Amino acid sequence: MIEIREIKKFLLRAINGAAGPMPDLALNQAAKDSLAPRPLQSDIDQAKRELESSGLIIGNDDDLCGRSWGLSTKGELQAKKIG
Amino acid sequence: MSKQKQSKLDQFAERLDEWELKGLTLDQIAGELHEAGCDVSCSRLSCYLARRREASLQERMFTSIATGGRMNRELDAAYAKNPAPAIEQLIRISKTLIMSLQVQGAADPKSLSLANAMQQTVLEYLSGKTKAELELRKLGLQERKVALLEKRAAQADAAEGVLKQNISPEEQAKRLREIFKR
Repeated sequence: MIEIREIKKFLLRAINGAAGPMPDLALNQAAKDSLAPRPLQSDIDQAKRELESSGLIIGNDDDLCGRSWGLSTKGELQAKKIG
Repeated sequence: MSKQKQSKLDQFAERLDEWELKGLTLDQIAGELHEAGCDVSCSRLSCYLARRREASLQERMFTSIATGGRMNRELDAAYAKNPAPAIEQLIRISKTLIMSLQVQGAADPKSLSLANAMQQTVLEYLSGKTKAELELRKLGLQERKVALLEKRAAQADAAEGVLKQNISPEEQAKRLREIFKR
């Protein structure tokens, strides 16, 4: 089983790479396709919840396009550290 | 993804890629490495190759996501030139779809061409819409110019009529002022 810590790192890098709102569905897909072993959706959700409660990522709900994620300033700094 | 530890296999990275592409088995790759002076077990080699494949897949994914981000910024820039509320939703949906297709494209290149085609279509639509609005504004300006010229011509005709009338200069001046005041 992949560690939540690894999923969180991946999510931060992915959202940072998008340099704009990252759709939730695309983010989930990216994590499942790129991490090995393939993470469970519940683990990805937990990683997102932890990142959000740490103030690193910010979710935005849109009636038309669903949820998307962006980095907070703190999140941007953290993503830069990860590389 | 950066590797956590240096491995003695790192120096053979390019050759390992070549051998994998050629379809060599783990045993054969281990044999090639042995000849190159590096002894490694098949299980360790397997773990190393799996880690490299994962890192490479992640790099492809991050590149794809970054490309999606760039494409969406291009859409934002095109939209900023003509920020009509009617197309705001189109832009939002397009951006979401483009990013989803880019993510899928890391594993399936067909999705990348779909994302490109979609972005181009939206950009062409935006560019066409901007041009059409510009033309419409030009047309409005032309119409205003024509209306102004028509007004001036009517004033000139009226003034000519006043000048032909047999009235006092004071009266003429008064009527001319009234005509050009309109």
